[in-house]
Amino acid sequence: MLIVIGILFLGVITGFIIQKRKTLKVNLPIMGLICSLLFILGVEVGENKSILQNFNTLGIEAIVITIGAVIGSILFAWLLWSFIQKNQN
Amino acid sequence: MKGSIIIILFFIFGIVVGHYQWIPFSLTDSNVSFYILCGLMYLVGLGIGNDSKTIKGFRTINYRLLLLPLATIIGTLLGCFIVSLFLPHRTASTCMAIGSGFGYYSLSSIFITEYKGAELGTIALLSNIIREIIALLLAPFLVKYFGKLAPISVGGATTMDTTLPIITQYSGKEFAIASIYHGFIVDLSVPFLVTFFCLL
Repeated sequence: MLIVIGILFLGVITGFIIQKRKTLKVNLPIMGLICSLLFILGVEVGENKSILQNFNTLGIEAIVITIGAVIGSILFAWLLWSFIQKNQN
Repeated sequence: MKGSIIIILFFIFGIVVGHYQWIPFSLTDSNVSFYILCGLMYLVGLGIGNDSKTIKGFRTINYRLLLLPLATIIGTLLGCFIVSLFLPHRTASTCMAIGSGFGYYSLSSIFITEYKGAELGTIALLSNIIREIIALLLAPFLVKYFGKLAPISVGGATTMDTTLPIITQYSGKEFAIASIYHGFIVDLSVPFLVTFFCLL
């Protein structure tokens, strides 16, 4: 994990140095790599028979819990965002 | 939004490929995904460093953004607690333990399997995978209706790496620092909170 953060900062420093010379178009390659990673995650899930078999029963429970967690997160993030914006105006 | 649909199609395609084993060698055993993540991180870094707005964002980071990890943790745990009222066979602490993964599916499921068994470990795995996928797919929708902090909060512990690219894409590069800080703090909290709720 630390290696990954290190590479991120390496990229930031490089991008910063290049700033004067060139404006980089990284959006498309980034999208491509994101798609690749999600593809691999899908393969991982598809290859795991245990996950696929149990998906019905356990899956519904997981979805319910996740929805609860996500709605809670969204609510508090929204409150904080509104709070920040109010103080800026 | 179109980007999100493309991403989910790749994910589904991956499931199909994995299930029918169309790829002879194992993508998952090799370090391919790690190298791709490194490449992705480098590109994201380039994009952030190259953008003059980001450096400004670093200087003017609103100190209230430091509260974001707390918002994520409290919001998640509260949401899980309420949901447990609808799952009679699952205690509140169990649901909150699962929620304490904050999208970090590998570590949280290992911990929960250790304390509570494989069934709950699998639920934890599925729940946190779904959370990460929701963050990746719904980011533009979340920004539009709930503000730029919403995808970061939903991303939970993954906002330092996996969901960072999608956050910089839709919330803006100026939130990169907040996203990394948020991911770092929430990531650290996972082992503590999961253990705490498992032992409760």
